[in-house]
Amino acid sequence: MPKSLRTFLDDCRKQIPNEVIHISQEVNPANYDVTAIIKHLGAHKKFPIIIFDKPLNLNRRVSEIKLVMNCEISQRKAQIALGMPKEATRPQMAERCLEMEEHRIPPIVIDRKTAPIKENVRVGRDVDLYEIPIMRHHEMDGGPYIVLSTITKDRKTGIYNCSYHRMEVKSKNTTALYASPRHLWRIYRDHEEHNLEMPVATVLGHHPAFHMGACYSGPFEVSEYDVIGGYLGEPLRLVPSETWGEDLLIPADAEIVIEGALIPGKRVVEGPFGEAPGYLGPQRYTTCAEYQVRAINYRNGAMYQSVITPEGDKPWMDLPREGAYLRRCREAVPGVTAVCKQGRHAHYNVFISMKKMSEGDPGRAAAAALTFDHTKNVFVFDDDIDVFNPTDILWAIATRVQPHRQVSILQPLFRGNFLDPSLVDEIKTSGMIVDATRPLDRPFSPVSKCPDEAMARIRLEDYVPGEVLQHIPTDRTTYWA
Amino acid sequence: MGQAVEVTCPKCKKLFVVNPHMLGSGMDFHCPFCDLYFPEKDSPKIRK
Repeated sequence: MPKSLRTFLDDCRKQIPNEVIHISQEVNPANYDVTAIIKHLGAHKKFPIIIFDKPLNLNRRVSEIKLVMNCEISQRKAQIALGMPKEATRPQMAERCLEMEEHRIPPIVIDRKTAPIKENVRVGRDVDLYEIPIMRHHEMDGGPYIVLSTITKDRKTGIYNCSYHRMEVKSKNTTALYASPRHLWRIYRDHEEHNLEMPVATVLGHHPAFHMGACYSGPFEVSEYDVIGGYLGEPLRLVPSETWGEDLLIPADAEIVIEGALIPGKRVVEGPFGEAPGYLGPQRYTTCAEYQVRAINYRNGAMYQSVITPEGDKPWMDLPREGAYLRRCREAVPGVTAVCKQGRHAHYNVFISMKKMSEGDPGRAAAAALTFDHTKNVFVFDDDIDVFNPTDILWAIATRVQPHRQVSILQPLFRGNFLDPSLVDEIKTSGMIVDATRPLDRPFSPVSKCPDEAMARIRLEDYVPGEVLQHIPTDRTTYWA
Repeated sequence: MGQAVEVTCPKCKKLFVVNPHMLGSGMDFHCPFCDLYFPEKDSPKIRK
């Protein structure tokens, strides 16, 4: 059976049954009900997949489309999506992403009669985004927002691009799509220069491996449908769109796909929107294009998927980036062992660990990281530091850094991110490199530890039996250890 | 230049944030609270 959101949910029900729950009460996603439920659960550090059985749509009626949340949160769900064991470490998962990106699998085109996404099709005047249970995510959001991946195709090369863009629902058949100046914007500007509409489709529910592949951040020339095939481990099944036919193919096993055109020369005001870094991205218009929705395709019993930023660890988005950073940093310094791009800080901070072979290695790795994405601050550590452990990170910064020697402040030469509220320029940002590695050219005090021999010889269960151990409460009040 | 300018809605008087490039652009602001679209000159207060 081809991979889809449904096969993923089945896998989760088998492997983590306590982490798939249904909420059967009516909820109004456009009135923050769903946001509040997820925030309350998040306060308990609980991030189950939630299937809302009776969400209201934007017409304030119970939607025939269910709402699915939290598929993107937690490492275990990403492991299930990628077919990895629960013992897999985060760096191993990032390595796996690199392998999948290298072993790309081209998509296949199937007949529309066998494509689940064609079970229901609405075109023209029957298009109504208000029938979908679209959320307002945060206070001060400009309106209901769709936040999953949008697909387009380069006019010259025919390669497909898939990427995440926020889009504010403006009417039953229009949205305002905000694009930062990356691949989709490049393709749009090319269409605009030729006064052409740009074909687009947005996937509102699919297997997490699809969404992870859509986070690929490699060269422009790589067709991201091939990358998604690599992540799925099977060819992505495609079918012609209603609007563009074979000129824009859409995923056949998605839950819902909206399709249409970005209009050349038309800018629309959108925002504010509560964004991934944890702040409201201000209202804007310069890179916000009008998206005319001309068809909605959906499966029988369709489920609409959304995400809330910046709640929880989101391996969906972060893991492919960690893989990309690993690749780039290792090109500069082969001894790089791990890169952390996890959490709400991850847009701008990068934590790198390495086996340092030479003084200067940290600087080279940091420089490689700074060439990419929206990186602003780079912290480099020895490989005994777990860069996914904030306490390890702060300990190393406290004990291995002399600021006047090991902190470098870089001039504002770098393209930053519109969503970084600290910017004092329209787009450029300064940078910082913190080399928290031990020096190689002078003695440095060893880390205090219990001898390995004693740790192996002394078995805790001989002194503190399991039945005693299980009743000793875990100290959850101390963040610092 | 900062990235957020506070705009006050002339109808509901609530504050929201816009990018500085909105100022002087001729584009109407959109109040996220009461859904009013209004020109810059109608805002009772703009804090840069």
